[in-house]
Amino acid sequence: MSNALSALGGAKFDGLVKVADAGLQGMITLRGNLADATLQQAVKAATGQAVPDQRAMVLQGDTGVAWMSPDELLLFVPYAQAHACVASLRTALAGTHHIVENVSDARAFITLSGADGLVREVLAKVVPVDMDPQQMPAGQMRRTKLAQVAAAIWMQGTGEARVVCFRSVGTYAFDVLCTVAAPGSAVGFFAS
Amino acid sequence: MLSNLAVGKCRYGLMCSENGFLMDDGVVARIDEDTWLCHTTTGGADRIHAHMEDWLQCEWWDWKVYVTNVTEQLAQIAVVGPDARKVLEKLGGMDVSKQALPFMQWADGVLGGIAVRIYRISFSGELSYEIAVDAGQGQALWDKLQEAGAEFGVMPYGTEALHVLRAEKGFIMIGDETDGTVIPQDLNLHWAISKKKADFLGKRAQERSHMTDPNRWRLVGLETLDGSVLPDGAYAVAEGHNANGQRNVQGRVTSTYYSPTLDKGIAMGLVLHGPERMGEVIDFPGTDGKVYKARIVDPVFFDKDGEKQNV
Repeated sequence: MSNALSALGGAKFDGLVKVADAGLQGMITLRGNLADATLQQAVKAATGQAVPDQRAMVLQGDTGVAWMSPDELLLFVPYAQAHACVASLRTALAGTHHIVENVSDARAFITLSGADGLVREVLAKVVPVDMDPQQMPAGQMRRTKLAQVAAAIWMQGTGEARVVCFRSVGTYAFDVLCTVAAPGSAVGFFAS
Repeated sequence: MLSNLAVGKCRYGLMCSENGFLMDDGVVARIDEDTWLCHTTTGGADRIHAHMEDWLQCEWWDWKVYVTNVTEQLAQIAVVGPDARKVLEKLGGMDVSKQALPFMQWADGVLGGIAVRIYRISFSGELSYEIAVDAGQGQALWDKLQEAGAEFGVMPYGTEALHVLRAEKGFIMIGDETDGTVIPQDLNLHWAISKKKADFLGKRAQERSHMTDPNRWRLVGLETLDGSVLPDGAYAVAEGHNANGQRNVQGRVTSTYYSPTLDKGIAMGLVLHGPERMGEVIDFPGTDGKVYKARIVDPVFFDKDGEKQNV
């Protein structure tokens, strides 16, 4: 696995905020009945977390889980463990209707960091989401559009946001974020 | 029918819209008892995924079926040509012989130190391995294949070359032979339509009077008398004129290329009563003022028995 490349190859940009390749992150799509006890136990075993409520997510380090739809979760696991984790989930869920797929390499993963207001502003320029701290606190994920492509976004904490999109549009998303984070383009809409 | 496809095997399939029109084609692999992997036309993956979700969510919500689009997870590299096996054997780690991995089967393994899934499927009619690998290691596998293939004259080939190769074999291409108005029967693909299934999307539509009309234009090969390349999209004219004073038409070109293998122009087209008119010559006026005369022939120009892909 030592030769695995992330979609953005370690790209970095320093503008209104820092935009950076967040690197290799294990991600697993799990679909099934989210109310099923067997599934809930399997999610707990894989991530240490309970099945999140609608739109909720948690990511601690490189481990966590996000709600994607009424029958789909995104599990975060260390990159090197993703294939093994898929195998364990399949074993744990045998006989329960489900699908589990490793999607770690299907994604580009981007970190935005800086002043909280500016991180929110940079995203607000290109996503149709109310980035007000009251409306978009940490622990909530939005599956939305980032300029012209599908993306998922969340606030990882104060002054830090994460963006996930498909690998093939990773460079596009990164470049768009750098463009709207160009020095001198601050609007100052959100308090920092 | 894909329910009776054995685990480890692959089968070519068609996908039709509710109205019977051919919307995509591809090879389906049976991964395990409960899992099928469906290849679509490259640019069609999102559309077909959405189409499957639409039917599963709106009409067949009680089926216990989930679909996930794994297109972006995988880099898939086709290693194609008479020396393809030698290149893979040089990388080592998997038995890729005809006995261990015959045409239309797949196998998981480690090739040159990289975890892969190899499909013996072919878009060009040659000995062909399509190697799927986690996208993050696509570059690493590509580099290894270039290095191992150097002594065999390996080279990357693009979609234009692929289009020519498949046209020599008479393989259809979604978007060339199809345009949203074409049904599988127009393309002589009756063999790929199940007669055993009680129902499938498009079945009823394909039984309607206009769909079973023997006057629907059907697929044939076209060979110019002078070896030139037919203009793409050209219409074959028929006797007489229509109400607008235009020549009547009896067919059109769907794919047309210069074939370096055969050193002449080859083409496919949809022609009125085409398959019943083998050997007949019809006229295709070009926009360059020239009338191209082409003979109606079998659409398979090269390796009719498919021996090259089954070695």
